[in-house]
Amino acid sequence: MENTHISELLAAYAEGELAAPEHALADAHLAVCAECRAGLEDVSIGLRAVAELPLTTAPDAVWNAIGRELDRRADRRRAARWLAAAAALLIVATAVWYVRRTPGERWEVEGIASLHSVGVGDWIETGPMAEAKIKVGSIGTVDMTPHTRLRVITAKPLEHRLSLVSGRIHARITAPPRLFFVDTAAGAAVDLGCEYDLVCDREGNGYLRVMQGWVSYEWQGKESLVPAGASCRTRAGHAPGTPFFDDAPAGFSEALARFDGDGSALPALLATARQRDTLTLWHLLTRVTTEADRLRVFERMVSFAPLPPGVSRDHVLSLDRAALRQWREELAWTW
Amino acid sequence: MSKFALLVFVISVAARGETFSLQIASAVASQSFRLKSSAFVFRSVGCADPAKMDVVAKAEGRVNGQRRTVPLKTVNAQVPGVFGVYREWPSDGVWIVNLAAKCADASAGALVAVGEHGPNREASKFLPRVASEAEIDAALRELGAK
Amino acid sequence: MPTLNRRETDDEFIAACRRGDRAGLAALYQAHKDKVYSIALHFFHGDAALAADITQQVFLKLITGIGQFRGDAVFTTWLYRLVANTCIDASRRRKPEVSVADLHLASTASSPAAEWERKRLTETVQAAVAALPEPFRLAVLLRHFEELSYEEIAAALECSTGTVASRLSRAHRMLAEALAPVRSWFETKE
Repeated sequence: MENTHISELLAAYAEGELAAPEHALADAHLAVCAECRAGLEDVSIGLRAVAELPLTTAPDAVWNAIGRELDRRADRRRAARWLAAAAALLIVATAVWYVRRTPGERWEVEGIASLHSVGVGDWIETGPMAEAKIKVGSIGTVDMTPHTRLRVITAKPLEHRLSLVSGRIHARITAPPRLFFVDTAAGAAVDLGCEYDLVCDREGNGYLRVMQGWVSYEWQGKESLVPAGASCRTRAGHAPGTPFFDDAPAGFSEALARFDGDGSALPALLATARQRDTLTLWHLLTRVTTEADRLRVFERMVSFAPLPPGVSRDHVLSLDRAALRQWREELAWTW
Repeated sequence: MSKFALLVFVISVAARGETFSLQIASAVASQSFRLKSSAFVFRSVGCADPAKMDVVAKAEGRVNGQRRTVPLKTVNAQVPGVFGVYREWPSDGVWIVNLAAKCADASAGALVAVGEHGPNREASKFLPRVASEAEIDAALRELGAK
Repeated sequence: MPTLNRRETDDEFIAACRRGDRAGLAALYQAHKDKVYSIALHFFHGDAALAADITQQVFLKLITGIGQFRGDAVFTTWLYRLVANTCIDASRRRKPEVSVADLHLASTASSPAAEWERKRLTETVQAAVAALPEPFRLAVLLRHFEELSYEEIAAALECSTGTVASRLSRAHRMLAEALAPVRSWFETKE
């Protein structure tokens, strides 16, 4: 190889893709060939340049468009089947086609004698002693405790949505994130791959407690991200309560209730916070109303955990979304 | 925290970053719905190429005075170098999870105590090498005495 | 080594896809969407609308054609062959693209703010990558975003490993040439 230029192999050489004997031959050639050494330097520049290309998150709209197209295809297939049948039994087939065109699937129900399955628009209500279990398509189950009333809003493969009017449910979902939703009068619990309890009254007052994974509780563009072992309160007409770990000291959770109510008690919150209460403090960064308070929260947080590489104080104080997300993901390793 | 304390902390983290070690956390830290039911998750610190890191996990236990070992599966998260460990060991007796990892020529180990709600950091041990039998026995004794 | 790698976890979702379970597609989508989108985005010079359209087409082709995927092949190779073919098909229907010679590269030397400078630099690299000939561009993007081996890139692009090595060598030299005005930035970036 000493007398043969290796320009075609320079990228493989630079990236360590050559087998050991080829690599040694390339080394020998590069030692004596200035042209290939210059080529290697160019390839290295190219490799470093490509490393600058950022991984970009695909917009949510793409998945929504895929879902719509799959629904359209399913509709077309269904329509084609019924049209074929219509050649023989036009009137009957047309009637069935209309029934089947109603969007949504039916979910099995256990525990209520008169109700074996539910579809879009159906209500389910448990009495004072009764419990029920709903099999939510193929993605999980919802257990209803006594005195619980809910309705099926959407029953599609890409959107499983219930409306909890009052009572208590326990949801266990095995699907990827954002396929299961529960609306209440005070917002919506969005499954991010999880198991959780959701309790509310008719006004939406109640709480969310997460046992596995994460749940996002959302209301009018405001969000609480609740991981396993944590809870948040919900209140009608207000942003979701700030999440806190269930093992937080009593003084901390009481101060948080006051903060969520009227914005007071920040000093008590900061004073009683522990390392893992950075979950709560992280949410406070966007909830305090003055820059001075945000700085206090920030300083308390960095006393527990340093900023990860690439995230600066200015990023956090200016509420840069990507930086806040990166910090939250890093903080989760300390909870 | 004073600026000086922060500086010391950052320097200690930077220094620690040069040494290959393992970090454990509850399942939510992985940000992966696939690992949500794992007993705990772990990741490498100070490994230049985490995607090529080798890991072996075993549950080491003592049941009715007998030593037991159960090989465990480690499941990748989408992020390279992040793994989940599932509770595949019996419920009776005293158990710890023995993690052994290799990154290029460096080794790291951990003996992880797992509670009902995830890993117990305070009761776990982190080593710059694979744990020895004596260290495993000592950790089991210590855990059993609690 | 008792480790489930991504291919094994993909297998569960592929099987679910084959059964017509849309949650299986959702899981594969979650696992690969950002890389597919990023490859399309940089293939089409930052055209976000087209990249979104390509990503959508790829996953619709995936669920339609998953029956043709043989378990003995590597799923990522099959997926990225879909990505490559979809990008090339879309490119043929599109107007001619810029060539390296048409690029007007801005020197970032005088920029006052490091962040702004870095953003400009990324844009400059994006433009240079987008100006590479298609087969070279795909090889570079598959290597960078999916970290495919040379063998896997060869399988995805249906060419030999030697061709992949040659394309990557030439592509990176073309990039170095196109980025000559900002070369110093990469030389000092150790």
